[in-house]
Amino acid sequence: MDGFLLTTTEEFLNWNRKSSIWYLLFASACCGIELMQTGGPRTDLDRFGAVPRATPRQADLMIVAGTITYKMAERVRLLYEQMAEPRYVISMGSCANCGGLFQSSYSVLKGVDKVIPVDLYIPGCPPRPEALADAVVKLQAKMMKEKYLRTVRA
Amino acid sequence: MDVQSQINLIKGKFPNEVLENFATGTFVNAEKLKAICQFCRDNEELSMQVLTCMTAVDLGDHLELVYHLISYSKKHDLVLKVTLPRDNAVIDSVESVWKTADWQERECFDLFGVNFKNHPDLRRIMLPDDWQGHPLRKDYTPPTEYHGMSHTRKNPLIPEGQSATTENSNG
Amino acid sequence: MQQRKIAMVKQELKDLHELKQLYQPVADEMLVNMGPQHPSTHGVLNFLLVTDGEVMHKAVAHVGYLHRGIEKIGEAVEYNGFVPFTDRVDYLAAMSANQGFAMAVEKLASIQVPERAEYLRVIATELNRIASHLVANGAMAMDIGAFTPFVHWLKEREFVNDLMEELCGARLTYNYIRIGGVAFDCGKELAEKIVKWIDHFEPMVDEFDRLITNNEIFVQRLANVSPISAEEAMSYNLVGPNLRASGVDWDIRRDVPYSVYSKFDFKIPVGKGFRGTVGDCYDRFVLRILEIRESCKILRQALATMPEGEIMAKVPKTIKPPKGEAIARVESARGELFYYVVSDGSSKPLRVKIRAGSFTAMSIIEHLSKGVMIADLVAIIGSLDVVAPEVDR
Repeated sequence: MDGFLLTTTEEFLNWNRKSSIWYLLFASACCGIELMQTGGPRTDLDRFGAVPRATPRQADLMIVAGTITYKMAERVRLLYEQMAEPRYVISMGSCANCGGLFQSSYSVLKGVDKVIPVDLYIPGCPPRPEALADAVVKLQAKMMKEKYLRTVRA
Repeated sequence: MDVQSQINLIKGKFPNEVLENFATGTFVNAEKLKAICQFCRDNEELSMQVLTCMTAVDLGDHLELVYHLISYSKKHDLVLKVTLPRDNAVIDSVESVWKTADWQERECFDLFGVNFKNHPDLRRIMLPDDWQGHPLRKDYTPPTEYHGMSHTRKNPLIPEGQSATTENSNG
Repeated sequence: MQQRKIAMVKQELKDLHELKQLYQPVADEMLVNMGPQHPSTHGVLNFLLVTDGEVMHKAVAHVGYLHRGIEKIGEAVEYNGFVPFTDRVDYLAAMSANQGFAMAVEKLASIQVPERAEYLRVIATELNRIASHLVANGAMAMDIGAFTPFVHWLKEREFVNDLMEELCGARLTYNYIRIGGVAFDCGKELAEKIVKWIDHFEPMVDEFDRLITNNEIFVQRLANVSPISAEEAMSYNLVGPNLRASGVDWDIRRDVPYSVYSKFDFKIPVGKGFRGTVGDCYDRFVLRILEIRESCKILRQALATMPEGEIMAKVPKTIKPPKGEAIARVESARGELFYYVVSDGSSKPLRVKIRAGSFTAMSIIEHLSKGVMIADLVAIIGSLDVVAPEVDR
């Protein structure tokens, strides 16, 4: 029953979740440097509560930054499977969105959403740190709207 | 030491194996390549201590292997080239002369399909182990899918059935 | 989806089984995978360690997780269109990568670059070298366990990014050094800004020395770890700071001079066992800091003596060099970048070969890793300054 108690608890839980997004350090190529630079002093990701974690078991956000090749795609899938729900994926940069400028290459996966479901796409080559911070803010807005307790999980 | 004197020095030791010269080096016989490389490294006046780069070029009807050598103490460099047939490209490995040839020859094997005899560990380095074909050859066609992941991505700006041109792919 | 997952896991187990046959660990040894996603490998590099828990018996490197086929793309695009791809070969020292390709094509097509463009190239490359060494040393310190220097260095690098953005519009992949010259000019205000920044930055290098370089714990972690002798370094074709740390005095800017480097006065630092043996990890670390200081000197001289003039030679819109081949060597932050371009007379290259310093540096790790502890392996990878796209291209 969608009562007052359930919705308020859900809002409280969503506020908790959005204020401490721990992301997985997954820096594949050039976008990885902008990811590190975003965690640096000027555009600080830590003010959103986001700290980098080394293992997917402790992360709830995976920022796929950089080109994914066929050899790497299977590992990306394994990393995604290891994350615990609720989990989100941001695809950063045009190589992860759609293959980027390597369209005629024989070994580049044209878009990481062929192997994992993506929540947010950030265009750019590489995207500015402000764009990544904006993406985290949009993800936070998405998390606030989620009917977290009222969905039946598969 | 300029290029012509270096070639004359090699010709002095291997008179029949040095073929046509060009501006920066010379073609040599494929069977004697390893002996010539050993001589280039050990000889006092040449002392080519370093193999800077080892690569191959696909010229349509044959393959050409290119070795760039350099000497840090004498400050001169040399290029050695070898021609190999396309379907049966076999040559001796120079890994015992310069250790860097190990990975460079593995890359050449992976991308061109050149077989190196007496190489300690010849397997694919850049591509997954079950990849079919050698990509840098001119007659290579990429597969349509790999392990269930399709190779192309539909461009939403281009209407169905057409290919990308400057008119319809710039938005 | 379920079937695909099962198939993938089965394939992984089969690969692991095959690898176990290949490497055959005995008794109390175990096979540990320092996988492609790892906080201390610099990018997507994979190491298979045969270890008894702390001491390694063997470390085999698997590369190719970022192989994007850039050399094959070079045969499908025109000469001008290939320059952005050279940025992505080494994104931390993108200016040098651009310059190598531009120099090779200029040799092929006999294009003469104007003098102001050469000075601008030197300024851009040296600023890029400083930025790259900041990241390299910072990441190495972070892997050892010292998190503070990395964030300090990132702050300084932000200023360099601002200067680059004012010069050419991009922060990381510049596409600035084009065939025939450079793309944009540097005005007087930007030149003054760069000089002001160097005045601010040089005391910061002394601060970094006080912070980390002479720190006793840091020195103990790095000194005497895996020294590489000069013969080994030359046989394995190490280049750049790795080669000079082993005592070999070779720098492309002085020994095979290109551009206008012969007009500047700068020293080439060579490793001499600052706190341990010649060619150990500490030498490679200190050498990069010394190179930062030399780069500041070159920048000051270049900015003071830059002449007026054109920034781009007269090149046709579609470059069609005559049949032939050319090589070019540049000294990037990571060592000698070697370009080999073959042309067959058409508007697209026949073959572009890029030999990067990190590729050969990866191949020496297996040789260095016998009897070394896993924590020292992290120090070795950091000190060799390996960047994944250079290895795989």
